[in-house]
Amino acid sequence: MPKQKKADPIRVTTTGLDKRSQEVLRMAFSSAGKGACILVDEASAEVGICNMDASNARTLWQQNSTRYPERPMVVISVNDPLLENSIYVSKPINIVLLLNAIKQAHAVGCINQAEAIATGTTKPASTQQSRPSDNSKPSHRRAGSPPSSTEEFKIPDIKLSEIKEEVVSYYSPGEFLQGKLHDAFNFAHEKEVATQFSIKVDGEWKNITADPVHKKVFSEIEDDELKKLCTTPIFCIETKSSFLNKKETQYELYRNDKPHSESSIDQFLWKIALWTSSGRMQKGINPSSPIQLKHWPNLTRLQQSPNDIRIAALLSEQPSAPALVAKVLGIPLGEVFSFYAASHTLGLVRSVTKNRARPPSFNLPQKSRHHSLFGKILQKISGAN
Amino acid sequence: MSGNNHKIIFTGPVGAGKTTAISAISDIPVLKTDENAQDMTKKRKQTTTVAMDYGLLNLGDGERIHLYGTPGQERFDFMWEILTQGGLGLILLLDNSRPDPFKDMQFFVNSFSDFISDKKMVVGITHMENNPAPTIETYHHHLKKHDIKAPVLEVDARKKEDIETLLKVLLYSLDPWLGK
Repeated sequence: MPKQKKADPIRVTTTGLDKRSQEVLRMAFSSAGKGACILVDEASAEVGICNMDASNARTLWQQNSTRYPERPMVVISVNDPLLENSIYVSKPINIVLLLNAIKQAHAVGCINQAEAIATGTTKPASTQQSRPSDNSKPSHRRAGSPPSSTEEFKIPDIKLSEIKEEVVSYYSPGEFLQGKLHDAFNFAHEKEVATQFSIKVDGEWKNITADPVHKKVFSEIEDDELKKLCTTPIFCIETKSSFLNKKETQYELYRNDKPHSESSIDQFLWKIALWTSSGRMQKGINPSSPIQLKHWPNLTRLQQSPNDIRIAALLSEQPSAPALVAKVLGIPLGEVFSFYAASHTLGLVRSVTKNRARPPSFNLPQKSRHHSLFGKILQKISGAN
Repeated sequence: MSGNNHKIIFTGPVGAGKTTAISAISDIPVLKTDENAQDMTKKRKQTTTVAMDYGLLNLGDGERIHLYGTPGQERFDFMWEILTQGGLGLILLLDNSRPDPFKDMQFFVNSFSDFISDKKMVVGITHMENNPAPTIETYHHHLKKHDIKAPVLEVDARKKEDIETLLKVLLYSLDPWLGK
């Protein structure tokens, strides 16, 4: 039987990226991307990536649009530049999201080309073709980045059908603020002294003070800022930490010259883990390996994502793999990953298959005979909020 | 009970917040019978519930969920089995400011052991804002000794959102398929 021909890699060019960044991208395409994309010169590319944080980014963008009006573009930057006819991927770059964005852009390019052929032109039109009307495809699209709302944190979707173990996006807490904060708080807990962790934000030092005795955290950094910092690699952030004596602790905790928020240590670490994960899985954890909750998180006092209670109900009942939990509950896999990250940071999760001869069996939970009634109660109390 | 009348039971020691919790979510003012207690519970509260607290959730189409609060005093425990008949689940509220909340927990877990093994229980710990110890973790540790795995959440019985979360946790514990 002849081997199925592998699809040609998508030809990608970059604008506004230095040589080093291009090499990193080249490596990422061949490893995590499994050769789905390949870096080429400007003339032969099908999709373009434009770094909008480069000093002359707008000029480069304009030049590209003029020279290759039919070429779909992926733009990468810290803040969404809101450019028409582009797909935005926020920094720090998530390789899975970038690859998905490139594939989406390529698909758009193919549609444009097919349209051009169908209308009888021998080559794509020189001006940008309008896309087929499709409610799910706005002209400016954001590639799976988390929303800015702090009221309810919705996790970016990762479709289970597209998951293969090698393309699940992983991260290591130690490479982000989460790792540093965790270490500082642990050390403070062991020594029973308050710790002050300072971060330089827009040129100004802002403090996070943890009091392990009263299990409280006082933060001068607003949640919106903190959320952005959580996904910034730690080597990009300037930090320092120190321990406080009793007098300093009293002063720092009760000073009112700087606005700050107060929370419990568990509340603080939970949300830091949630934001750092942003739908990614922690390195070293296999999404197909069963995990179990040691007990329920204290959800009335923790930042909740929409399906946390459902995930907790399943994971406390029996060991389940994150991928299976997502499939059984019909929820985004990223939500399960983030729940795992947050629960793990509070020491609530354990892996189950370690040192076991046979992995545990998974029995689908039974639907209650009062299922319809429970649904009505749920609707009643949810609707009343 | 008729087919469209079901109940959820709130239990716990005197002053744990059962009446307040039911009031937080009930569609009707909570019906309770109070009298000045002649015994030592008078020192704890000015009024003591000596009959069942009663609240109601109207679901529409004549369907209702009755919310029952067990009497806080132990001498009424002969009524508890009657109360649990047809119950969907149990919400145990424990007062973290009491001298020995674990003893309270043990008492109620033993009293409702048959019901808990058949249905589900969630535990709400009240008065934690001024009494942070014992911690939630310690409650889990004590429950484990009884071989019980139940959600334990910090709640303020006056806060509707806390009691609603407690109820949601109970429902999803009973049926993880909800919402699918």
